[in-house]
Amino acid sequence: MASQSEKNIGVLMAGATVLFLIGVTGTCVLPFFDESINTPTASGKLRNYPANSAEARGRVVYIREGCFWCHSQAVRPVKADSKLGPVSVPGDYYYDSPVLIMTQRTGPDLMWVGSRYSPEWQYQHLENPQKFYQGSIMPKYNYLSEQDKKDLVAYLMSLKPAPTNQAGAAGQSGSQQTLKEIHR
Amino acid sequence: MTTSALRPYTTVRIFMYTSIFWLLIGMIVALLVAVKSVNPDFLAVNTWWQGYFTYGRLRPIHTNTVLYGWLSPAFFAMWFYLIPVLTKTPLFSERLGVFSAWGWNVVYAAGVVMLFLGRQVPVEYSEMPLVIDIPIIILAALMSYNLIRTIMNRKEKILYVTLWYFLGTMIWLPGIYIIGNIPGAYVSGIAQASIAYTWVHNIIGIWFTPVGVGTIYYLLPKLSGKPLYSHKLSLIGFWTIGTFYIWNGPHHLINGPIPLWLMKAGIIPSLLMIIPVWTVLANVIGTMKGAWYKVSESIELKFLITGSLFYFLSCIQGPFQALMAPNAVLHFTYWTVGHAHMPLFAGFSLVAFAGYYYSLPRIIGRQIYSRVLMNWHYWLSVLGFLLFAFAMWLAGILQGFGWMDGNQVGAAFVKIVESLHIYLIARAIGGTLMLLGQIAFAWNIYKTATAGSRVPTEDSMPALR
Amino acid sequence: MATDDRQTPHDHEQKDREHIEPHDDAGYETVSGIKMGHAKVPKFLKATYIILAMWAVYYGLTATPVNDRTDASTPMEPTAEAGAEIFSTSCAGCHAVTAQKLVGPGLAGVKERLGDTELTNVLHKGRPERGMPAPPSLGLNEAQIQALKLYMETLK
Repeated sequence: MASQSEKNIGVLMAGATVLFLIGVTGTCVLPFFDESINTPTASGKLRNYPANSAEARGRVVYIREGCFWCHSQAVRPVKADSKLGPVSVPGDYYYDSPVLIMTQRTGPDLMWVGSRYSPEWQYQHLENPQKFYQGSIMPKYNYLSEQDKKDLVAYLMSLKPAPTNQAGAAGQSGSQQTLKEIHR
Repeated sequence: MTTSALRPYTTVRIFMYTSIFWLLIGMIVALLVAVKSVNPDFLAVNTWWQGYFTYGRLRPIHTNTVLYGWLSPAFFAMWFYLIPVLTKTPLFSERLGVFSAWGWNVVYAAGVVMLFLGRQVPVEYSEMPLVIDIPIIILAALMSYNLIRTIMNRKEKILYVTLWYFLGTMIWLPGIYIIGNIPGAYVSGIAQASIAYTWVHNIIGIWFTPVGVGTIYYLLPKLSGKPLYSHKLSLIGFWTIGTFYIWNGPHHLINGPIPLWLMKAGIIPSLLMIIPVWTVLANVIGTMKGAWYKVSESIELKFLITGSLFYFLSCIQGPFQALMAPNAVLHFTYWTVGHAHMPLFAGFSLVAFAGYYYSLPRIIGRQIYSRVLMNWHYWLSVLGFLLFAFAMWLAGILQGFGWMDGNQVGAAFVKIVESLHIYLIARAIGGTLMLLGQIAFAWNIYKTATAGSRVPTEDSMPALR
Repeated sequence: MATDDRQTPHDHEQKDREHIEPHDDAGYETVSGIKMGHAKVPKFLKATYIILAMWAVYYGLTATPVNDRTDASTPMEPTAEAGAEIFSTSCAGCHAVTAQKLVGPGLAGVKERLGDTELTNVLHKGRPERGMPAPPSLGLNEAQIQALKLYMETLK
């Protein structure tokens, strides 16, 4: 009862390839042509670090030590993110390579962490998080070299919204406008 | 290792034995990670240990080892065993198969070293750098070539549905590896993120899922002794998986910084995944009709049916999480950790265990050493997983609502972290049980290979009869 | 170990052959030694397919993004309670409410120590020379700073 095509591996493999390519076109190629993705915002431009700047080196440390496994970098228009600063939009990530949105918030979101603490605080907190929060489960990063720690702090301090975005309560009214624009 | 001296199924045996080694390593690292989440100073003996064994480096070593050291090779073993059996044709080149099997292990071991050194790429499940990805793609393509040539030489003209699924994965595995690992290294911004999440979902969606479902379709009629319920359903399942799964990537960025059209392009196919999943389930239930009592008699069947059930449950959870409102609560929480382990451990790993217990005796001509150990393996895995998963799901719900109450940064955030301590301890205990189950598995397989009683050899080489 | 319930694979296959029986609703054929039935697609699955297809079209045309933030950011009255909450998110990283020094000084009795004018000044400009950022640069607006000040006045 099996039809002729069920004996033909060529038909099957061509079908599998076509379906794969259609999906890849939709989710991996079309985003390259979207205007909101292709237009850097003012905050996005702040993350265009010159090569070998402290921030760029700090980002490498951030990736090497796997900070991103516990800290996301995305603020969504939802209640659970209401105190995290302006809602992040596609253009904020224009220069990120790779993007560090990630999937877990074992620790707080770091999209705009640069506007929450001073560099001193960041440095001491990296050395010993439990000094500030006894119940914190963040590892101590006192094993990093002095250079690495300073670079990492510089990177974290650079994660902040551009001044124009900051009008209104934690930039919320401003960000809602941009949100409407991208979801038009 | 001359060609003439290679026994049939040598490739399968290499993949089976090495994958069990990696399974143990991967789960030991998992336990280290779980304990570090309870006590961050665990293993922080000196700066050397702090650096190389920091949470952020061990986590990708765990995920990569269980995915590319254990589960992928486990299903390669199924490829290399079931394809000669189903086509009634010897493997095109055993020598090439053996080369790919050892090659895979050597490349993967090099990948682990890279991860320890901190050479990680921040794309989940793709953390190994490009120098590792490229040999992996070549090896996957070589295996596909070897098996496609075997299928072209086949003596049985009609392709059983398992072969459909396996042939699909021979295109999709190298395909998604190329898309997921190569362009992402050269582009930036949300377009790169969209590629990354298409990869994250589809290494599961168009590799582990179809190869696992294909294995279910072989083992189910064999172990239940019933004819497959409906050929038509299995084909609907195959083509709908192929159509919808590849689109699921953007659902990892729901409510996130992506345009609405892309969000919808991820959410709608995520819900439509209900079609292939329910179709597979209907086929399993239809086939098992009148044979359910056999689940209590055959431990292999118990593994297979439980695995199918957990696959089904993951795919109830998945579409639910892909809706915007539940996602707003559950995304970024521990819920995701529980969800990610359900299809990969409780679903497809259990299917792979059934496959090992079924095929190893037929390959080496020895029966499984101990059915008592098989039962321990089953119960420790399943109960350990349930404890692990419920701890994570509850913790995730509490976390999500805690954040909605405004506890999102600073001391307020840590207050939520402290309240989850007990769940993280429960996760570590569940994980310990899962690891103990795998030790029973490894010991049982080792004793089977070295001391299992002999069965007639002509029965052990069905492909060559 | 449990010798009695051991089965050889050979036994299994023997047993399998005895147990194979066709389903009532369809005949079957054999491919690669596996019997394959030809049951029709069950009605509940057909219904599921149709419902999902209709939902997909409806959702694709009508869905709008979630926007829950308005609930959480209703305009606030400057009160000491609101100030306490702002303090916990924006200040508590560096300052304790007791006399204990963290990164910055403890704030017990801060109003008495600094006086009203100086407290207002610090709350607006920070202490750049000692590394304390100006609160407006942390995203706080005037109402929130007023609330913070009311809260600080309660710290003895």
